[in-house]
Amino acid sequence: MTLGDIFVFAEYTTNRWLDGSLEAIQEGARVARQTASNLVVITIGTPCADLDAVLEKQPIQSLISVEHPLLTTFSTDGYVIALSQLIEQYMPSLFIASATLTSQDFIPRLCARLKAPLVSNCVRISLGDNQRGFVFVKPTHYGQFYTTFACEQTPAFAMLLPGAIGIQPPSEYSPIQVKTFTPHISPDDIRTSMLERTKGDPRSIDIREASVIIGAGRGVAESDCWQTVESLADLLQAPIAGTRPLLDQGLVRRERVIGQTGKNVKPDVYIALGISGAYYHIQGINPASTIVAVNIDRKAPIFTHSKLGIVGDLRQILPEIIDRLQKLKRD
Amino acid sequence: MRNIIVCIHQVFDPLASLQLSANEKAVCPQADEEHLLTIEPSDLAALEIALQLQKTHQTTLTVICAASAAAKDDLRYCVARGATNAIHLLVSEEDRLDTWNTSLLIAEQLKQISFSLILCGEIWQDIMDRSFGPFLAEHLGLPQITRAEHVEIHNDTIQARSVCDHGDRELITCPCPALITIARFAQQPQYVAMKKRLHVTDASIKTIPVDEKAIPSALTQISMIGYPRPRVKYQPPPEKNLSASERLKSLIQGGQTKKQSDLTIHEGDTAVLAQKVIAFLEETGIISKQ
Ligand SMILES: Cc1cc2nc3c(=O)[nH]c(=O)nc-3n(C[C@H](O)[C@H](O)[C@H](O)COP(=O)(O)OP(=O)(O)OC[C@H]3O[C@@H](n4cnc5c(N)ncnc54)[C@H](O)[C@@H]3O)c2cc1C
Repeated sequence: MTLGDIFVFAEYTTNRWLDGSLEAIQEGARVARQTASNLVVITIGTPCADLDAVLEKQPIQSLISVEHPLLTTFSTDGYVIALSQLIEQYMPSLFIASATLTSQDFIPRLCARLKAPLVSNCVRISLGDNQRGFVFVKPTHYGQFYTTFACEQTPAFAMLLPGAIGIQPPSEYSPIQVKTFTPHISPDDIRTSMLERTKGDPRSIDIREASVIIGAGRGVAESDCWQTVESLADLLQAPIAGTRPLLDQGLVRRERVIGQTGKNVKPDVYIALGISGAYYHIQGINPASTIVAVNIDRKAPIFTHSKLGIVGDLRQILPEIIDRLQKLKRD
Repeated sequence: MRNIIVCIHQVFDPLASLQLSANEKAVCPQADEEHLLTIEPSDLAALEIALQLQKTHQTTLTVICAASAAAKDDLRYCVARGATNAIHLLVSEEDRLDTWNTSLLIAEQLKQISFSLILCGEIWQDIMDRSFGPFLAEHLGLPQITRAEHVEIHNDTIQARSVCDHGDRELITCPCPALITIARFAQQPQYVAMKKRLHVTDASIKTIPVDEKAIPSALTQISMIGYPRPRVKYQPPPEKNLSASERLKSLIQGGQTKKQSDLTIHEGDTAVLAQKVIAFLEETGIISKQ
């Protein structure tokens, strides 16, 4: 049977699509195949010209870019007005997004405006019994149970739990048809305004949110480089995390330990200094993160996980890196 | 500055031992335990922020909750903590409310009250749902700010600092009345002595029974609750350039030991090595290229 289109709301940062959005696209494609409907990706804000290459490898038929001068920065009111107009015009059967902080802000409000059903943080979507409506599964009761929700009303909305599905390797697909949708929004519609955005203080932020992390291992403690590592962290505005031995030595706090008994992190870049790369530590670093390792031992296992490996003594290399960074900052 | 409203909700205590009911459509406490419900921690953070605002602006603070009779003790806590009064929209134990119909019930009640600000927690942790605040804001036509950790009121304007991705913070402003959801860790709940709770009079908690027929119907129906994870997460297969033992390790660890096929290892002159790191940081956009 054919239902209406499947819409997937996709988000991107300056230079890449969010992994959660790619998961949402792939889940949308799976449901679209089941229902023989079209998969349409929705983006909002600045058009994503140089990002199309990634999407070409995803199973998408078309992309609608929602564009308006008032949508260049996020506002709940702006996004809700724009998407409610889009949905009323196209009437998709299902609208999927990754449960990011942004989508969890405006999608419930959008659903309330459209009086549409919503299941957030779900891990599976399938077609309902007798091919009517959809069925969503999500973890509930602190993950002790999985609850199945059914809803016949369309459009139905689902927010996927980021990281729950995994990203399949890309393969070649047909070219995407790109359309532009311009909603009617007036400046008075947007009641909130952002006065300033400040970067999180690297010394206090949760390391799970960081895009760059400096990992310090026993090599840092043994070579008395802790202060040099702190200077590097200040220059890069990155938080310092560490291995278990550094917790034992009192250099890092418990919430800054990465690994099986610490936190699982997913930075874009992980700078591993004096870390051997023990299994229990590596377990806490997402495989998608790029690792740069500095270690005196050429055979240290950390190098097998790294993209860039530097064999050398931290006592000599760190001051040299810091010097260069300071020089770059001055220039 | 008029009344401040705080919406609270009861969630399952994370320590409660739960089991499935016979029809597999609800969860109940295990045989020898009581039904363990507690106030959602982010709602408690919202209450603490509201109490600070109440003090600064010399205003009244009303706590509202749509729940079964078990919520009475939690409302007592809120009044003992400093709320002026509480409204209990009383539903029967069997009428399980979800985020949608709770928000509609509370919205109907709040339409009859005048207020400057509504605060509530950012999430219902037990079901991982951040919809309640935005639902309620929409039903009442109010501007919303989510995940705030600090709130100030200046004349008829609200300023809130809210938590964004990567630990960044945004300072957002909007006119009163508005709805703000509060981040879980924004404030620590405070202990209230039993004596103080016992002093809370019934008169300060207004109970309004909600007729079963008055409960708006849910948009999604629970068809089953179960234990097993419904799908296996996709893991990339081990890379071909790994040895047999590493491939096995990779499968066990879910692709974690993936060897970087494009690894480059550098040794030698310190200055050259430092330059390699700088070039890499520039390439990945961590520092800007000169
Ligand atoms: C059940 C269990 C759970 C665990 N959970 C965790 C966990 O969650 N997180 C965690 O991190 N660990 C955990 N561990 C410990 C883990 O197994 C390792 O012991 C630990 O990660 C090693 O930390 P390291 O790399 O800092 O130290 P080491 O393994 O001692 O490595 C130090 C490295 O520094 C290098 N080095 C020394 N001097 C210099 C120098 N001057 N310049 C450059 N490099 C230098 C050395 O060559 C070496 O490779 C756990 C262990 C167990 C048994």
